[in-house]
Formats: sequence, structure tokens, C-alpha cells
Amino acid sequence: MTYNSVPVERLASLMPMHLLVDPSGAIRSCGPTLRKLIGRVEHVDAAFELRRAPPDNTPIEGMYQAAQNGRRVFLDLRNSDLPPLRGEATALPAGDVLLNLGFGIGVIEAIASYDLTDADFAANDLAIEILYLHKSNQAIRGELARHSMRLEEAREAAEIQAFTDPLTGLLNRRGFELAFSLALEGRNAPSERSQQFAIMQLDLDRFKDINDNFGHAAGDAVLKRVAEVLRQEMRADDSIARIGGDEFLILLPGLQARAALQQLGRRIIDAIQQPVWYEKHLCRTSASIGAVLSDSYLDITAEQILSDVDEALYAAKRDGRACIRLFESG
Amino acid sequence: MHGLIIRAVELFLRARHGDAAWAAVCAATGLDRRGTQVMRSYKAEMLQRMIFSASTTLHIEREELLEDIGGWIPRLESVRYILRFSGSSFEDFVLSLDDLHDRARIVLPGLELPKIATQMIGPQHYHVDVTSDAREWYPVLAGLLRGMADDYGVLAMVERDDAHLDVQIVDERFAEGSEFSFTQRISGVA
Repeated sequence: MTYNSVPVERLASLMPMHLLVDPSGAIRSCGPTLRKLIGRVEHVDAAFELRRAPPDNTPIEGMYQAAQNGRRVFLDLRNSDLPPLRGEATALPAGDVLLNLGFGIGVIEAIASYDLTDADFAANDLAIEILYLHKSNQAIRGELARHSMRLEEAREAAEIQAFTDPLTGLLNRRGFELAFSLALEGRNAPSERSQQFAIMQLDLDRFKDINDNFGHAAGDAVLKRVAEVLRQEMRADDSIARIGGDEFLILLPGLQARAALQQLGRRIIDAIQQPVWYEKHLCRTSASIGAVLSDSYLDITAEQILSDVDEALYAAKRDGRACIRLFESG
Repeated sequence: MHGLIIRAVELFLRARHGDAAWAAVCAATGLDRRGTQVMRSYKAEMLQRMIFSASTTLHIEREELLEDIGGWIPRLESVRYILRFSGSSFEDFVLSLDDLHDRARIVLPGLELPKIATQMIGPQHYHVDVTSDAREWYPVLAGLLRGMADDYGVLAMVERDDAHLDVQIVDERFAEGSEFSFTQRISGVA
């Protein structure tokens, strides 16, 4: 048995998102799922706006054109944020047009907004599969995001540990080197962005005596107190490091005035000379400081500047300690 | 601001302008120069600060920089591949920009790409409007459309006028275009 024609109602029953319209745009039949979206409207103009089309074309014009040229038609639902419905159209002998529409990527939102279920889609429609993929991916992505957040926190903690002196909470040598290499890069940048800096190296005077006379715990208390003094005297951008037993390095970005550097050194020494009580012992120490300014150099290398600041510190010690000396080139 | 967008600007700066430019932008914005993270969220103003400092550092007008970024996006093979899903022809690609916002939202909630409305003005002539409140997307889109026209092998004119981008296809078979098949293998970039 062969069919020459199939009644349109039989076809339409396979398409829960179909639309059958007459040439005036009146809706003659509408699939049950599409009905949930457009409500009781009886004319396509009330339900849709034509998209991806010339600005003043009406939905019915768009549908007939699509039926003629075989291209897809895009219809925005009025009063909805869903992306346009899309579908193909075919002209029927009586002058009506039959459309079969779909959601495109809007399917996930549509399922939520209109409370759609598996029964609202044709069996060959992958809507529910898309939703399944989307939801499972979302769950997996959430887990992965949590996992990578935890890794990130652990990395940050490890990094802080790697760059910090545990006793004082100041930077350690590696931490200082990192800040120092950035400062060097900044100084060697093209002139409009170039930034000078100063370095101080500080060594406590006769610190060994405290350890020898009162024990290491007393020495630790003094070191903590010195760290406190340095934190108070420095600006937020400065990097302060303890690089050995009683040796400190300080990086001061932007500082170029010799007088200011001298004053700062003086203030630090005065503060460190304030005696510290540890249990029943009064611990006294002082500090010698060497300093160098990056603008004393034409070409600058890390090795050179660190060796010069060390020499300046040695000069301060030689000059009787408890003082600051600036390295002068030449 | 979604990390994916921050990361895209980072990759662009490093690929096109080198690690020194990237280091300068990091110094100005406080970003980690070792690399930004795709799956985290950055402060809302971070993108603006990146664009501003890159434009200052490189002495490139802001609009021009944004357009360069748009034009560079199709050079990322994995992104180009996804973009080519949008249409078998450049015309389809342009018109399907309508779906960009919703597609992006499904792929990565929080990504917030602009809402775009397209119109056919005449034969092979389109208007592309950004309807969400994100006008700086216009130059990015202009660059992207030019880059994708190359990818499809199409000669297209993309001009910005007052209210929209004006896209006109001049020659649909101008060049060979890049290869594309739905099943080709791709690897990540970010």
C-alpha cells in the first residue's frame, strides 16, 4: 500500500513544537509544547518577533520566505528571555505553512522556565540528553573548581613558607631575592618607567653576647623585637628580610634621598638600642647599617650592589659600630 | 570578571607583545606575572585596568588594542574551532552571534559575553548590535569578525557606525579559508 499524501494532522502529531498558520498569520494548529510557551494567542504576531531578518519583516513574511527558500526561520518569543526559536517551514497546498520549531541552546533554560519534561519532547529530540550533559558537567566542574581552589590555597601557603623566616615573620633570603630581582628589573626598565631604590644591610652589634650570657631564647626575643622595630619604621612597599643569624637586608623602592636614608638609619639604631627585658635579664644591643642607592650606578648588577652594601656595613663596623654608612662609588 | 577573559588578554599580550609587556601590565595591575587563572573570578575592574595599562605601556589606542584582541581570538585553534560550530558559512556565523551570549552562559556560568542582535539589512549586508551594556565589545567584535572572515575565506567589510557594526560580504569565495570539520582533534590553549 502506498500513500500519495498524509493528512497534516498526522504529521503534526509527531511534532510537539509545530505551528500551522494560514496566510493571514492565524494559528490553525500548535503543538502542545509550543502552546506552553505562547499561551492562548491566536495570531503569530502576538506570539513572535522575527529575528536575523530585515528590520521590518513580520513573522508571517519570514515563515513564507523560509518555506520558499528552504532556509531556517528564527522567532523570538515575546515576553521571554529565551534565545529565538528556530525551525524549518514548508508550504502546504492550501496556502498554509507548517513549521517545526526547536529551542537551540535555549533548551536548558526553557526546560526550567516552563517546567518541561521528557514527555514534552519528541523521542528524536536530544533536549533531555543536552540537559543531562549540562547538569553532569556542571557538577563535575564544581568539584574541579573546589579541587583547584584547595591546590591554590596550598600553593600560596607553601609559597609564603618558602619565602618567610619563621622566627620573625620577615622575608628570608629567597624572599628578599625575589623582591630584589623585581626592583632591579624596575630600575633597568625604559626611563619613563624606571624606578630607583635603596638597600640597607643591618647587623646587630655584639648579638653573640646575648646568646652566650642569657641563652638562645633571649637572643630570639631580641631578634623578634628588632623585626618589630623594622616593621614600624618601614613603609608598606619596603621588603624586610632576615638573611642570617642577626643579619637583615632591607629593600626600599623609590628612596633616593641620602639625608632621608641617613635619618632612617639613625632612627632604627636608636630604637634597637632600647634595652629588651627577657625574663630577668636586660638585653642590650645596637646595630650597624650599610646602605647603598641604586642611582649611584650606571650599569647595575645584583652581585655588585650586594657586595657594595656589605662593604658599607663593614665600614660602619670599622667606624665604631652603632652607625650608618653609605657606600660611595669611586 | 571571569578568569577566562583575563587569561585571554594575558595570552594575547604575551603572544603579540612579549613577556616584558606582560610584566609591565602585571606591575601596574597587581596580577601574578607567572600567569592568571582561568577558573577563578577577578575583580570587576581588573579587565579595564589591564586594558588601560597595556594601552599606556604599548602606546596603542584603547580601541585599536581591543580590536587587535578580537582579531587575535581566531588564532587560538581551540577557540576558532568552537567558533566555527556557529555556521557553515560566514553569513551563518554573523547571524548566529545572536546565540553567543546564551551559548557562553551554558558553557561557563558567569562568563557573561555580550548580548548581540543581528539584522539583515540587504543582500549579504548585516547590522550587529550589542544590546547589553558593554560598548567596549564593539571593537573586539569588529576584530573578531574580520579574523573569522579570513578564516572562512571571505572578503568582508566591517565598519563601526554610530549605533552598530556594519558587516558587508564583498566576496564570498575570496580565498581558500581554513580547514574545519566537526570531528577534528583539538587541544587546549589556556
